[in-house]
Amino acid sequence: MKKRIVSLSLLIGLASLLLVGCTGRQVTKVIETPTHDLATKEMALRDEADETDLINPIEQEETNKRAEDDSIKQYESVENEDTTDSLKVEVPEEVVEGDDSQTDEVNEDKEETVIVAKSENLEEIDERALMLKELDALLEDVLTKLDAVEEDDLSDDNLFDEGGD
Amino acid sequence: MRKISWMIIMVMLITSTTVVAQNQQRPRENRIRSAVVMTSREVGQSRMVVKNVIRTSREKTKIVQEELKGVQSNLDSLTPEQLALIKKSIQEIRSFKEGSDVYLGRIIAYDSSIRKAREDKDYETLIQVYNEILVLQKHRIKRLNDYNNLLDRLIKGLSNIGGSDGDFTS
Repeated sequence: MKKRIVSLSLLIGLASLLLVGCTGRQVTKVIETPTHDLATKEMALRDEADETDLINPIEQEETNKRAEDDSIKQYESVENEDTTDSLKVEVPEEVVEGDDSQTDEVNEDKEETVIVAKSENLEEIDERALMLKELDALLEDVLTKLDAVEEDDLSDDNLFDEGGD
Repeated sequence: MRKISWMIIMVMLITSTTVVAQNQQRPRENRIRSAVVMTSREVGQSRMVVKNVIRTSREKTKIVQEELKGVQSNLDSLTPEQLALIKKSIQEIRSFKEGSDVYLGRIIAYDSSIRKAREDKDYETLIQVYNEILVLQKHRIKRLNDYNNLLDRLIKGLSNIGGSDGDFTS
């Protein structure tokens, strides 16, 4: 009789230990589980941190690039003044306007040259026309850039849906 | 006989606890999977927003280009405010363009890591990657909206050629 009681209590003890073990395991896992609510909250918190982490280096890069570009532009403007001065001397008006046998690339350069060559000095260049031309060219670039931005996207099959995986 | 009955009881106990443990594991996986699906859906929605904003940007850019054609034949009627607006816009568009260069290729670069995480069934990494993409998409939408607002100001300013009312530079 005693033996039975001892072995029964041992069994019960063993079973309860197993159950407790499982329950303990479950609790640990549940805490680790990112449910959607948790994921959303986590995401909101992460957003701030990640945004700073992701965006800051990019903005830093952007600022550096802008600074670089500014210095290049400054250099170019100085260089351009020199170039336009030399163009005025070296390129006669008739030659610039009359030459059609150049490649497209050369034609573009020539267009710029025509504006410079038509006026006797830089002050007479119509600043307004140049500004509008620059704006138009920038907008054209932006259109190309928008296409590239649209292409920088995840492929459709990389979005996870209910039936997937 | 007694020994056999004890053995049976033992086996039953062990099997039941194992089954309980397995059932507890399944909902956990289901919860993570549904979290992945939800985050992925958010990325999909955000993706649609980006596409729409890009479409708007494209349309507005073309409108401004058309306005510019009209202005070019009427240069004398440009007011100082309109000139200031154009000057400011040139700077802002230039920085938008340069900024776009920096961001280009960041989202598509996640394609391979998503594919790998899906193969490994690493749902936690998937959630993390999707969250990072969401941050980039939000930033992209904000930049594009800023650009669209700038174009709105330009359209408004340029369509008033000849009239000097209002300050378009703000």
